[in-house]
Amino acid sequence: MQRIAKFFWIPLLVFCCFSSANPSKNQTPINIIVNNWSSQIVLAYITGEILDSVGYKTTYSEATTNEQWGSLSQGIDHVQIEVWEGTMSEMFNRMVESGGIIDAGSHDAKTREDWWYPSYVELVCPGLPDWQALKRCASLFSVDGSDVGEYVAGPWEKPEAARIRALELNFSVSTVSEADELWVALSHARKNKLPIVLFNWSPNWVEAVYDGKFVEFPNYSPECETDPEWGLNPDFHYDCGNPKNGWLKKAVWSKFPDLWPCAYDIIKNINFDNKSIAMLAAQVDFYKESHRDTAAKWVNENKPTWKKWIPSHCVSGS
Amino acid sequence: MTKTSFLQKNSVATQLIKIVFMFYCAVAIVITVSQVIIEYQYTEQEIQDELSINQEIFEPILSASLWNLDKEQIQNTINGMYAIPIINGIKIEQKNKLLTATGTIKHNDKIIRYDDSGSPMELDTNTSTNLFSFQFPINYQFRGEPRLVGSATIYSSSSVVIDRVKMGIILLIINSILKTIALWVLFFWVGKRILLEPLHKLVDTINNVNFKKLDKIEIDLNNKRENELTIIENAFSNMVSKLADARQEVLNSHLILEDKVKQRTAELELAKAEAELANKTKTEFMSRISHEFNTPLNAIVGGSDVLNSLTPDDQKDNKYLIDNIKIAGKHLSMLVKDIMDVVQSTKDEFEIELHNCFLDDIIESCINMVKPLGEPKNISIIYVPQHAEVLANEGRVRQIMLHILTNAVLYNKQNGNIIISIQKPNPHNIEVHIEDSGVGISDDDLERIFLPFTRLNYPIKQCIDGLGIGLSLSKTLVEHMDGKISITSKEDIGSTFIVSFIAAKTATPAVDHEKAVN
Repeated sequence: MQRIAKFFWIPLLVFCCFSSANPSKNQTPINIIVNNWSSQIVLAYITGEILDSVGYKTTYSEATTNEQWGSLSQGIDHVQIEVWEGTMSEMFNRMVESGGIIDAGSHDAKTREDWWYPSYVELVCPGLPDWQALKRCASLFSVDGSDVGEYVAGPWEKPEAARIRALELNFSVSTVSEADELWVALSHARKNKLPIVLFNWSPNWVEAVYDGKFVEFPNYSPECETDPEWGLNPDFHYDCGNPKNGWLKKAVWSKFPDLWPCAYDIIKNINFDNKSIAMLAAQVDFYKESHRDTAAKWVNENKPTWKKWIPSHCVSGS
Repeated sequence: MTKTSFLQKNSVATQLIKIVFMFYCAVAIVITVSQVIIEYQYTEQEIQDELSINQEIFEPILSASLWNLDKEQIQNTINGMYAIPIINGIKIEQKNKLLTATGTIKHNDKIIRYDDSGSPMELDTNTSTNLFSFQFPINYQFRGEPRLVGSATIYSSSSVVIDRVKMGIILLIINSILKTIALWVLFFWVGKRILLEPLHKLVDTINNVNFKKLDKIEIDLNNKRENELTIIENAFSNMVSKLADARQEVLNSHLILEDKVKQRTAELELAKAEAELANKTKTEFMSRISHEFNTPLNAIVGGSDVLNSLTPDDQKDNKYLIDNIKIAGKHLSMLVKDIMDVVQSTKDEFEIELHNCFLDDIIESCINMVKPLGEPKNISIIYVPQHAEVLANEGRVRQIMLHILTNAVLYNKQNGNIIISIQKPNPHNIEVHIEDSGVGISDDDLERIFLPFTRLNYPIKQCIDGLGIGLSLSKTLVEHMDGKISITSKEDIGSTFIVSFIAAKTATPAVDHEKAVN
């Protein structure tokens, strides 16, 4: 009799275990957007590894910051782990309003994108970081011997020329084709102690390696971009700097929570601060680690941190 | 209307020109309308093709704008497209929903117009501008693949087509009108020179033909080339020449005829004189004959009466001879009278005095007179008096009745009968029907029986006396009394004479009772 009972009890236990478990996770691959700057790429890989660890399938798709919004809103790509307020807020807000994407929350990191200079430049251009010092020192930043200074801009569309015109700076814009070229230019200038002002952002590896500051332009306001009469120059827009303490958000496709509810919860919990992001970027851009290795190393060394991002129901759930 | 204006209006050449012109106008209108329709359809297709070209131009811009949901850029783009003259409206849809639009579009079977402020206004489909459209999908190339982000529909309308073809059609119509006018003017001018003027000249020449001076008629149509007008000209000249010849012949014939007429007239006058002389001689002869015959005949008849009265009744043979003498005398007297009447009746001045006569009296007296003739053959004569009154001459009526009744008796059969009746075919005439059961008359003889001095073969063979003037005289007398006489007959069956008189106005209606007279 007991043998018979045992015979039934074990399968029953197994059945209960499996029946009480949540259904298996949606195995449709989650596409994670990969842009062209290191912190974003590393964070994308970290996100992917975290989601993989709980049983999801993830893929990575390269997209430009211009194209990513269309792919996100149409569900071609599903996750963007770094949305910078300074340059992406307009599109982000537009897509959220249209219902194509969902705001998946903000990192602790505060962002800033603007003109940046190494600290030694202050020695030759006193008055910095006040932007008005650039008016006096423009010729110091010249690369061709003229009195027109050069601003090294990144490969992203920014209103640099508009700012120069609005603030009547005697500068020209030299745009690099890749982010790495910015650091090449910086390294060269540092090596030769040449004055340089270039596009930089925070959090970025640069602040982790080099000492420097952002140029303090007039404080940003949305009217700066829409109302020419606002600001110092009543004739032009962009007579201000980029926003300081901008947010750094995460965005997912609007149907993401329905398809991958647990993954959505995880992504909402993912949170990096400036220091973490700067270190991760430095691993790649300065210490020349690969994005993958950097991400894997971080995941490996920060399990307690990212484990906490996984809700308990997601450990074996959908 | 003058003759000239009549000719101008009704001339064959003018009619020809008008008909050709109308036909040309009809053909020109049909061709022009066809051209307009084809032009319209071709232009509409052309515009349709042009609309499709906009896909290549604007799809990349729209696709990027739709990809980024940049409504401002989308609106700017379609506003730019709207500036293209052939475009009346643009509609951008995303996932089958209307995203934005400008101009006049059709959405969900409704015509919607967006005003300058972008506010939509639904239009009545009955007053739609006849929209036609070209729709294309908007694809965004992402990672090497086209991704459908929406669709664009570009609208145009018939007004665009009309605007484009308007000038061409106007020029086409003006061209047609000018060509028509030029053709008409040219046709009319050439037709007038080549056809109208020569024809008018011909008509004038014909109108002015003087038959008395045909030899002086000349025609010159001023024809520069040998053509149908030359043929007409020559034919007319030949005709006039022959007409002149014919006229001359007619004149000559007329002269000859006049001579012959004169000659004939003279002959006729001579014949007339001779005839008059002969007639006068005949009349004098007949008068003398009448006098020469009647005088002794009266003596014979009168003498026979005296002799009869003097002859005792027992001298039957003598009485018989005297009766025969009297009868012969009366017969001869009657024959003479008849001959005189025949002669007299041929004269124009022969007249019969008419008065109201009672037919009963006349017929009964005639029956009494002919009865003795019928006794040898046992012929019965039946008459029912009708109290009919006619407008005639009693003596002549008696003369006519006697002739007919005498013939009815002489040509009757043994135990035959004669039926006399009165009929009124209408209120104006009274007919006396004398029907006998005699030998009848053939159809050939019926045609000549009323001719004077005509005797049929039967009486000649049967040796029945007579001169053959009784019926002829009866017909003449009846006609002089405005009556008619006719006969129907069948051989071996009998004949019926019908004598019609004018009914007297005071004539009493016939009494309907029978009285057999035998």
